[in-house]
Amino acid sequence: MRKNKRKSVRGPLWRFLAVLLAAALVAAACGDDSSSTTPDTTTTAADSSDTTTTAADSSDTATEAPAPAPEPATIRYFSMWNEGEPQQQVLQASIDAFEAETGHEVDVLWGGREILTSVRAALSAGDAVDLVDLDAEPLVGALVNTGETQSLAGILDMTIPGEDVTVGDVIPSAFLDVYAIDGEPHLIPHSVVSSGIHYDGSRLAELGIDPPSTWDEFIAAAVAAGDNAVQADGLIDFYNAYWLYWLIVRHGGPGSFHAAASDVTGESWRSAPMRRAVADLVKLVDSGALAAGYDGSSYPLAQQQWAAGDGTFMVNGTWLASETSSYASPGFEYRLLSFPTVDGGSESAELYQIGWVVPNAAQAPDAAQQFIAYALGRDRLAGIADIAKNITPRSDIGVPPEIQDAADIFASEPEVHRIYDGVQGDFPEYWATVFLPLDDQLFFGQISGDEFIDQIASATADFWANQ
Amino acid sequence: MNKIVTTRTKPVSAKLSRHTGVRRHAAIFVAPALAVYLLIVIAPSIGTLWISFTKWKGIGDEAEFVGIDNYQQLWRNDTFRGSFGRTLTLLVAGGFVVFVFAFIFTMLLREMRSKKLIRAIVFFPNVVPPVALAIAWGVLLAPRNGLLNGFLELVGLSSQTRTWLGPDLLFRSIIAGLVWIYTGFFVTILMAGVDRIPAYYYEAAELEGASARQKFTRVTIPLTWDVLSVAAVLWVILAIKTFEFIYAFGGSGTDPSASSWTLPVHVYVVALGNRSPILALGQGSAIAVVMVALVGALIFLTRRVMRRAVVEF
Repeated sequence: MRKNKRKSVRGPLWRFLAVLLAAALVAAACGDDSSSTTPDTTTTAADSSDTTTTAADSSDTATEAPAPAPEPATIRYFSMWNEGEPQQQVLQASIDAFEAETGHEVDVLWGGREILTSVRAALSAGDAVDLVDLDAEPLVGALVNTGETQSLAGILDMTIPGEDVTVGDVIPSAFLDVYAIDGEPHLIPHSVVSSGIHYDGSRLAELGIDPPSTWDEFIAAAVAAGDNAVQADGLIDFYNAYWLYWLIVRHGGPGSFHAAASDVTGESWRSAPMRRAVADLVKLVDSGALAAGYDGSSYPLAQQQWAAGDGTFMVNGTWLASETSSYASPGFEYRLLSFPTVDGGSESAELYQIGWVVPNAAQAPDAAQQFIAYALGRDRLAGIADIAKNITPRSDIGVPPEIQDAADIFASEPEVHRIYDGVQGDFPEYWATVFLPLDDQLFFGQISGDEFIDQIASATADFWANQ
Repeated sequence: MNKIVTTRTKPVSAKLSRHTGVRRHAAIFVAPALAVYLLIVIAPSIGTLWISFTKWKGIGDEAEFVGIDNYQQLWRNDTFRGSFGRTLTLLVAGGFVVFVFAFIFTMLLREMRSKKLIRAIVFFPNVVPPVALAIAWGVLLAPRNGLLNGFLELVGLSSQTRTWLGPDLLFRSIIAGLVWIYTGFFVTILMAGVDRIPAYYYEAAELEGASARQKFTRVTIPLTWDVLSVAAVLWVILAIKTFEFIYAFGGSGTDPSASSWTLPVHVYVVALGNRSPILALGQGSAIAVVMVALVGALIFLTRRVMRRAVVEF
């Protein structure tokens, strides 16, 4: 009787717990199933036969002879563009044509600039990430430098569909070398960006000022151009950083900023080229040419004012033309100066790329590489220039007039350096917590050049001592 | 007698067994919620504590156990000290101003006819996404063509125009914005307390010849003390955790400059960043743990300082 009674009390609880446990097991099994079979299910979306071999093949085939007719696969593509942006439209057109021609499926996430967050989440969940599209520095910092991407050397020999050329023929090796690991490219660009000093050509002609080419000429031109000559959105610290980084590269050459940032003693900051670069920036700050209130201007106010005719010069990336064209005053003629040179200094050009990487976690790496080669086709890539108003890595694709000056910078095949000399990409914590705050103080005139040198030398040493 | 005892004990034991039955059944109903809570709150918290003792960049990187290194580094890190200092400034200075304004509004509203309407209006900033407000403040405080400087020029106060978002005033402008947002929230809470006070206390005080200040300190404060103590705790939590408004202030859509970071912004930038991720998850977790400890300690202190016998009325 007692036994029975106990049973009757426990019955519902045990039954309930048993149901819970069973449900948990089913859920866990489903979870396991979905994460482990995602590659299978995704790869076989188009063709359900022979699923496991496809998934297994995709990781092994790299060393095998190329298959005559690859299985249709699903490429999971993570992109930095938002739906509706010009680049998204250009890439979507390539995707549509690629799917129609190859039978592969491209499952794309248009995730915006913080796409790495989604990539991280997918990687940690064990999901397939076949292709990531983002600007190079964050991409390199987050995935390439951590060894999570694969070599794309194989793409260079692929023939671009519809053309008689290979990828290696049309993408300059200087571009690919920038982020190469052991001589093998890990990032293939679809857009090339640079920075410099933008101005309205017609306005400068009206003012009777010749486009300056040296730093001293630039200061003189800025002073002569009247009120608010040099516009700046001071609340964007990495825009402010363009000035000092460029001056350092001009005075010390490519790699000198990177070397100073990574010098554990901090003493490189006290070198003569650094002091000259800092002194040149102080000249600009003291010249009075910077727009009133530049240190408290929030993006994109200053660049809108500049395009509307309030101000003459503005340092920024080559995307400034497309960002400001809707505010431009009538007759505005977009022109770009290469960053002014200094006596005996370097004349190298900044190369900033936006492109693709294929993570090691890719489940359809061959199809992903095939897509890259396809999207680099002349007609398809031309949209990056015509619609998105960016320079492409292919020299046989022309650019619209508003970015012709930027394209000309690369036409002469100059020595190139990474944006911010690679400091932002390789040492993001140093960049955000050591360099940018002190650079802002120097650029806002809160500290003198000597104070800046002393403070950054000791802060650099402290930073590395703490690592 | 015996009979009575047995009859008495029986219902008691029946009650007890019924009670245990209820408890058992309660366990069934609590279990799912408890499991979810353990899974999504307790486990990640323990995980965060564990990560704070490691150097780890996330998936693909092997976590290296470094003991209390991350905490020691914070101690020596100027940027962290800056973020910590700004968080305390917001907490103390911002809190002082919020409560002064909240009390002024409360006292004014108490005797106003359209108090519900005005209370809704001052509460309004709380229902608008902080990011939108932050961008609006950027437009308001822009150096040239900004609404505030434009207004000052219009009324002949050109000498008072400032670069409100410049390095000297940026954080003060952020505090001003947060005060504007949260004052309405605390007015609503304090009003709920003040509305409970029977009008005859104020009438009696008036008959006794009490001034407005005396009514405030002798009637309002003591009779809303419990509400005030809850409000103070809420402010501590809000001030330390506020993120979006500070992050988006200036409206750039990118990480703000380190000169305006508070602790939550600092955690976000070093742990996740956005376009140039730092991925110092160990350091970020250590700061998060410090934040939780700070909130805990300050709540304990606030409760301790504000502990009074509740006045019943």
